[in-house]
Amino acid sequence: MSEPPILMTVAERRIDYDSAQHFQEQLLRALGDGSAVLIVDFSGVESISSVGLRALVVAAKKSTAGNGKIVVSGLRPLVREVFEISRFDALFPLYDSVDAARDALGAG
Amino acid sequence: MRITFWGTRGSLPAPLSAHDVRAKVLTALQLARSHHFADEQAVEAFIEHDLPFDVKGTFGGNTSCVQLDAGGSEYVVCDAGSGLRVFGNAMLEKHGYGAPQTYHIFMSHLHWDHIMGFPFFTPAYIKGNVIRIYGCHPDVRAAFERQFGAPSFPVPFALLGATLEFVHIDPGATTTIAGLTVTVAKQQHGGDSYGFRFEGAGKTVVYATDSEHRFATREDELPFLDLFRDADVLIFDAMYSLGDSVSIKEDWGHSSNVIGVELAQRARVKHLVLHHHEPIYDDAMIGRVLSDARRYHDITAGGGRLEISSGYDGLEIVI
Repeated sequence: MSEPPILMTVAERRIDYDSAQHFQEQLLRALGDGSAVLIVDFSGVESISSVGLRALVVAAKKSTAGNGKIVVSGLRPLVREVFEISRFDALFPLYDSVDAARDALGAG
Repeated sequence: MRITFWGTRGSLPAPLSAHDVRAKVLTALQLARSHHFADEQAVEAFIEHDLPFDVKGTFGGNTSCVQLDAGGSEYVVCDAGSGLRVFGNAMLEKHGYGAPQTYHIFMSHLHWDHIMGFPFFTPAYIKGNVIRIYGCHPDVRAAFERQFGAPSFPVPFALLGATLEFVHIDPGATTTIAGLTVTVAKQQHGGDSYGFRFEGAGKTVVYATDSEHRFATREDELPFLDLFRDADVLIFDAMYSLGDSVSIKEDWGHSSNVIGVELAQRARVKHLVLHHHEPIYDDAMIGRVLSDARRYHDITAGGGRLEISSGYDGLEIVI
């Protein structure tokens, strides 16, 4: 049986140059050896810039190499728009809530 | 200062097909269905005000060539993409064959889409014209010369009638050429590329195409903020989405509308012009890249003003 998804709640309200490094470290730590299925919950995030989105890609590379998976949940409307404008909605599955992500991953 | 865009497409020319034109006509007719046009003026007004640009026009298909006119008698262009052919024809129409001119061409780099217009630049064939080609790469002349002669082209390079001069510019240097103060900065692109900051007539225009921006810290941005700072117009490589540029097209040497907006905001640029459009994008998609850039600015600006346009073949901006 596969491991249940790990939930990572993003601590930062704004992911920019001041916080992206911490966000990236948090992601990489949560991923472990890269094989984890990770739900990254953004419900507390009010804004994200390109440097924050890039941190997600760094984590995605580790995840892909380790046969893991990263999904994103709880995007506020403006943050979701940034994901869509950046076409990050094509890179990461987006779910409205952690529960919706768990359901989609078959771990509800 | 007047900026004229003769070519705005990236990588290779991307002309409209018959199918593309038909789709535009179809959309225009559908949008016109409920209108009654009393005269030709009413038709013109409908086209001007009611049709989106991607329906009534096209962003165009020629590769990079942008002219700067600061009021001097000599001509200044950035890059010799296929748009240079159209520029050359406009010069012939303006001056004819018997009035020699001086042309200054600044080369961002020597990839084919940035040099392919030169064999079709008619002023190069006319004795008396002077063409000075500026670049930071060591092999500018060889790249230009290689396009001529068998088996690629019927005319040997040596038969060009104009006086050609190749002028090396040191990266980081500031020089004065054709009345413009020119500052050059190295950019990240396969084989390197260079961005140019032009200052003249009290205005600043930055031409920064074919440049990938990969920033992890604020310090990484600084060379570009210095190049772009307080520019009246920033012409910026927005070929890919941010998502593509950091994933499947990482290291392909191009940037995005999102990075363009962020840098323009931080450098207090007045007008950002998206340039080097992805050749697989149709007009509607390039229009979306533009509207997305404007929306990203609205979301993130914090009240700061920034005009954002998309370059198209034939666009003129007067500052």
